[in-house]
Amino acid sequence: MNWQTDHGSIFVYDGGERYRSGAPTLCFIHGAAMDHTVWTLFARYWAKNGYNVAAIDLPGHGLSDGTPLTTIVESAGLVTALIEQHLPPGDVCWVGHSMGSLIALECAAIAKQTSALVMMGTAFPMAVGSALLDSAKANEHLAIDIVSLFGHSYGSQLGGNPVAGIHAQTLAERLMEQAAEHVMYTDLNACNTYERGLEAAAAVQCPASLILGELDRMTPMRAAEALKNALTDVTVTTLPDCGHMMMTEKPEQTHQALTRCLRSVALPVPVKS
Amino acid sequence: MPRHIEFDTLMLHAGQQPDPATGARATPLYQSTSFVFDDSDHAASLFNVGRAGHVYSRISNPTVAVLEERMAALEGGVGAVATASGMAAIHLAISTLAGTGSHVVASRALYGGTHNLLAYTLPRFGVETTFVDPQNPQAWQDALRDNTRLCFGEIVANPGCEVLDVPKVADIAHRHGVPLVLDSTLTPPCLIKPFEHGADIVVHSLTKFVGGHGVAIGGCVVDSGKFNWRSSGKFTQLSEPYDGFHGMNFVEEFGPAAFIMRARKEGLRDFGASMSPANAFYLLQGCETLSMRMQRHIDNARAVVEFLSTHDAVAGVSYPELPDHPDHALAKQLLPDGSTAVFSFELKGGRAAGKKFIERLQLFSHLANVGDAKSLVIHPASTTHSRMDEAALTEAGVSEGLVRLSIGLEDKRDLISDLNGALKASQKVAAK
Repeated sequence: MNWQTDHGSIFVYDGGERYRSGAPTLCFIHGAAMDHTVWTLFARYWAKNGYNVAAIDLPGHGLSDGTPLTTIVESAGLVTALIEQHLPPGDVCWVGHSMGSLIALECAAIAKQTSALVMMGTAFPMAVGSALLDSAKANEHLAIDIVSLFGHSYGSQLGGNPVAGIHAQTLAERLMEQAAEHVMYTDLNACNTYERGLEAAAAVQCPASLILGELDRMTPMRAAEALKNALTDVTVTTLPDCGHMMMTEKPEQTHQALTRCLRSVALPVPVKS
Repeated sequence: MPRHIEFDTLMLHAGQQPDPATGARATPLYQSTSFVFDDSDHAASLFNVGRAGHVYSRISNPTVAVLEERMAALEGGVGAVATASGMAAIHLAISTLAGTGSHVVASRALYGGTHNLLAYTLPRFGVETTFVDPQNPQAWQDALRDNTRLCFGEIVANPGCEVLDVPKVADIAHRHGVPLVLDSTLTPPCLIKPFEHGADIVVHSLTKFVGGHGVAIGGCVVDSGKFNWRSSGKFTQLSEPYDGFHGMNFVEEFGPAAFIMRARKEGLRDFGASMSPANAFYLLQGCETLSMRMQRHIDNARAVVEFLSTHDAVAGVSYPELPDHPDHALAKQLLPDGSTAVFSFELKGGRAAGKKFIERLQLFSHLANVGDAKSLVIHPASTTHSRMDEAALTEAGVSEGLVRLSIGLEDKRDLISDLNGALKASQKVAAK
């Protein structure tokens, strides 16, 4: 569905189910130069299992209009406003990946009805190397190659994807190639210049979960230490043999980790899942 | 700066990790029709595409999935679907894109089976095809209609070895908002990566060079993930909700993988031309040595072409690497590592000489296949292209004296010796 905003039409994927009053909301926020399709399996699963799902294409990404917002804080303000305006009132769980995890952190710090925060493939500071920033600024394919190669574990580059027939690394590259010029740079620069991480983490009142890839070279596990220490109620799950792109590299393990996060904060999860 | 994993490594490893349950290094053969659900939630989520996993081997199977992911990795595509045969792959690709009232523009230099499908079978289902001279870009352009849904061709045509100007035809297709679908069977991805030249979808008969051993039939469809189905506006089956899958909108839900997901969720599910796990297992064994075998195929083919092109009994050889072939320059540009090992030549002496030639051969096997490890021979006019009338045969470049060879991996001296004996025998018949 599309929601009209000052930034143009914003596409939101609902997981294939209509919104129901009284159901909790799961808001999925994608990473740099990505879009809602990285969440398709998760969105479909949770929409069928009692949640109102909103997997948002940030402005200038995927099927949304506009140009990408330049700061994490600005993106969080937009996402929070959209959820409050369009979703039935109720508990909200913010789930973000990479850049999206920082936006989710800000959302959790400022939104009224936050019940849980899940940060996947995250770090603070989320420093971006100059080689990547420079190539992204110049709209060189090298930027896509760097994210692709550092973003997937070696095992995932070889494959063995549980979604039959899909080569996850090439799929990620196509997604990034389809992003308009300057989208990747704007996103990476927003990550690189975000300074409020510890302040936002201290303001988060709900339980938080960090889901980290053991072999992540974009946001290595050690780079999440400061966040872990700043969040007051936090659990950490490590996904073995997994890189940064956990939703497509290890969808089943990521699903199990997310299920445990929701269960731990007493949000509804299917029995035996 | 790290590198992408190289082709020869992907050829051996892509799509597979050592089996976590048993430690098996080789891809296990999961010869099972169906797969047990963990619980009712797991079952429901697999049917709803809410989690990843296998349900029933008509739609996906762990062994077949390794081959699919390997072919996707080798071609540089986002995904692949394996099929029961190469023809099933062509049908799956076309039926995912076209339906009643649709139109196809296709090269007239195609494998006979493909020609049958397009010329005789698909019209019964409301899909028409205009065949064009593949070497004439204007002909492709002129044949396009509002209801055209794809352009189709072979990179190196069978049996005449015409080379398709892939970038040019892709550009024509894209300007019309339709994808270019290519059959790359005779040019496996160690020779050319069609997506790098503008193709959108590639089909293979894996029975041929990829398998290489001649023991298993199979095909695959590979999706580049590059075609913009939404902006084209011509593929509502991908960009609008599909009633056959609870209103699933493939473009919205799968982005660059929209086509290949629809091919599996609809075409494989409903037509059911899926690959058997055993055949996938066999084809994976062949795939592991593809580039090494292909180099030997090419080296042998070059030696045989050189021998034939100077032989008195031979009126002409159609091989793109020969300077007098009309597509010599294009082959050099698109296929610098070798054009193929399947080609044809014109034997002097007509039908009787051709018959004697084939019967006198001892190493070359007379059969209807190409791309085997063993060298093969066939007379297209009386076999693979026999259902074409004279005009269609002429258009496809198939004459009565044409002989097609598929050069295998034997010692080239033995191949040349066998050919030499058969050529001499054929001319004795011709002289009578």
